[in-house]
Amino acid sequence: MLQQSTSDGYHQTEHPLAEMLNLHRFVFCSGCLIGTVITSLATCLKEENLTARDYAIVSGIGCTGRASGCFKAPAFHTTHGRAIPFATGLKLAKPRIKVFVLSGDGDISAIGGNHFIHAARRNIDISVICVNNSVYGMTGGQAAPTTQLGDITSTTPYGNVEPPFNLVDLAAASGATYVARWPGYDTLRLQKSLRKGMNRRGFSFIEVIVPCFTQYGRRNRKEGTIEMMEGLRAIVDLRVGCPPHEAVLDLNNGLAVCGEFVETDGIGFIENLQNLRERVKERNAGKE
Amino acid sequence: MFPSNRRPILAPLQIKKYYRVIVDSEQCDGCSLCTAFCPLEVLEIGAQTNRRMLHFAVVANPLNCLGCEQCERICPAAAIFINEVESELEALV
Amino acid sequence: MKNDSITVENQSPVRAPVLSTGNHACAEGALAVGCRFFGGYPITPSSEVAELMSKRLPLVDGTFVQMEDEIASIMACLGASFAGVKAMTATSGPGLSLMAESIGLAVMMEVPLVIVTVMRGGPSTGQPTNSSQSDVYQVRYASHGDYELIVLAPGSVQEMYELTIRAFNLSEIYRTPVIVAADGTLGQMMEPLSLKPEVEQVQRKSPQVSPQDYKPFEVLDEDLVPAMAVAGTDYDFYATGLTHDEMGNPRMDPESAEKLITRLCAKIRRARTHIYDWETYGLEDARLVVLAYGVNARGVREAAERMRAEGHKIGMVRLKSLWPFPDELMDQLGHRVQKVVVSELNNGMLIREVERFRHRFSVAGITVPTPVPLRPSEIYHRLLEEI
Repeated sequence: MLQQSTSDGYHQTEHPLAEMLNLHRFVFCSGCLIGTVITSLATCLKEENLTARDYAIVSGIGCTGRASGCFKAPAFHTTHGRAIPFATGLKLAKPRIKVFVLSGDGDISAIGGNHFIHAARRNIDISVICVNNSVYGMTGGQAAPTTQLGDITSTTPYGNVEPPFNLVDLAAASGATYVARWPGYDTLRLQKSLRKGMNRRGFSFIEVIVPCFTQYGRRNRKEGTIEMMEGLRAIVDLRVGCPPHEAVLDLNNGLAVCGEFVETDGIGFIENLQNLRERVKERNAGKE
Repeated sequence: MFPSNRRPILAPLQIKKYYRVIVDSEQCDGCSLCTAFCPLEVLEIGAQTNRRMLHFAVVANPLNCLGCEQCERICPAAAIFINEVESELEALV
Repeated sequence: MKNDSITVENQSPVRAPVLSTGNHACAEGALAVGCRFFGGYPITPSSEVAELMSKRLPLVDGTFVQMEDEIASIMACLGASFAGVKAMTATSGPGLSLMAESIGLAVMMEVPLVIVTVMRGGPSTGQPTNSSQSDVYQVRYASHGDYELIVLAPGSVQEMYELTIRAFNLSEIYRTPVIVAADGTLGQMMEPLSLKPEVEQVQRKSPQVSPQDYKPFEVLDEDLVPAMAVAGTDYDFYATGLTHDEMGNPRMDPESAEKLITRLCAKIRRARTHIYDWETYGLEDARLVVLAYGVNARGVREAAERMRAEGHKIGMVRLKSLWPFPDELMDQLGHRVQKVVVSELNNGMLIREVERFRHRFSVAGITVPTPVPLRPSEIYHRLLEEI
């Protein structure tokens, strides 16, 4: 509870998001913007008056994997890389609720890569929020498919020689109908994007760049959260109408293109299946 | 503000708004993002520590606050928020 | 607290009785007991289960989705089950290997789920179009960690229908994944199938307290099964694969782990006599009993009948549930039987469980590592040696 109390009755004494969040489950490093992504999502959910009956959060394994438990809603902490198919099943079985996947870059693009591209291809109506910190933080700072060339990680002690994914391009090429990337500190744009993603049909993919100072920064830049954020702010280039294959994310050579890259309208998987059911039932009724 | 030949009949009311910034000292872990993001030096990391032995943010200059809510939005621990209040006195609590 | 159940009339468009393959019978059983979600991936020899589900689910407002691999299939079923929809997937040995981690997740999150595996020759790609029974341990121990699992073993097309129904009801009662392990032959062969006019559909326990008071893994009944809230209701809950306490909070201390794992295992073990299922033949005066399951049991039965006709005091037990292994049955046999012969289409798996009782009776095996069924005459001759 708050240490400061107020004498008057009508001003709030509790954080406005306290009813949406399990505050005791914020286990992240001090200053890690994963918490900010969580509060941004919670703010959007609160504004839309969504409660436990209206949505569900699914996450995988890793630092971002602990995010689902922070929500006072049906929250699932599944296995590494498998949040997306779990979310698919959840949404297909209960299309009324909004389903969010909150997972890290390794969870989504390495072990979960296959599920990621197929969910995008199917255009399943879920919102995937990928927290990209270019590393496997929780397990000690190993390289991820988003680790930049030359970076030192615990499994690339001599520098990473594998080029990283452009997750925006991957999502777009797989068929996602809403693709965006934002820096983790830009909460207003992130919130606007989250609102858009949750209220449209089809697969939304929102990549959020969140610097990991504990594992990644320490080995490469030896800086803390504020310095890494300043560094990120210096290289972020917000663009409108940038095509996905030009969405460069090169933290070492100083360019992080952010913005919305794909925003097309298409029939989501839920609607597709519903149309199928109706068609089949009609045809079946005609036969009898 | 207005060109000299065109003035409103009544001078526009300028109401100063006050904001009370509230920090949950147990939830705060002293990451100092709020102090970095605050444009007007309202906050600083204090000398006191909480039950987790962490220094937490304190409202050093509450009257500076103009309600931009940057601190509330950026806080990764949902430890800080602001209320609009009616008077200077309430902002200082 | 007893589970709610409803009795539903057969609404299948199929007019019974009908000639059906085992795979199709399995799908019919699933639909009859209320399965409305199938997430699957094709694999010989179980693909027909998926194919029939893909045809029939849209007609009953269910969802069929062919996922990108077996892992996605079972994870989608887990998600659907948490949305309150009965879900099933069907696969074979290689696919079940892929699903191993997810089975553990289903156990940890206590999710009702049915996995059908139609067993083929292994290991690895093996012989996709030949039957075997070499997955006895895989179906039980696929996942890592300490856990118990219910595995049923149908022996006919009719049993594919009935045991699939039973599997769903058991999974709902005990909030656990249940595996139906069928021989490859059983999946593909055709036999008459009688659809039941009415089927009992058991529902999982739903929370009796308000959302504020609900603790997702709190156990209020003797059966050690917590009430299950689903997504889309006013209940919020945290389901994690980490060891957790009653609220779902991840707990890394040894005491929490002990408490949770003990309960998860006891939940099934306590109910084992309700889960056991077997069929006997000639046990009244038998001095030698043959233990078998699945399609191979038919050859054993034929051999046993031939031997009884010749005056040998031989009996047979056909297991319809493989796990938990029926220790109590072994105890019963130990009182009056001198020898137990285990016949299975593998290099000797279930026999290891029986050998735990070799202080009570002697144990022998009629096993073959190839995925070709044993001929009744072969079994007969081997049994003669064992008498």
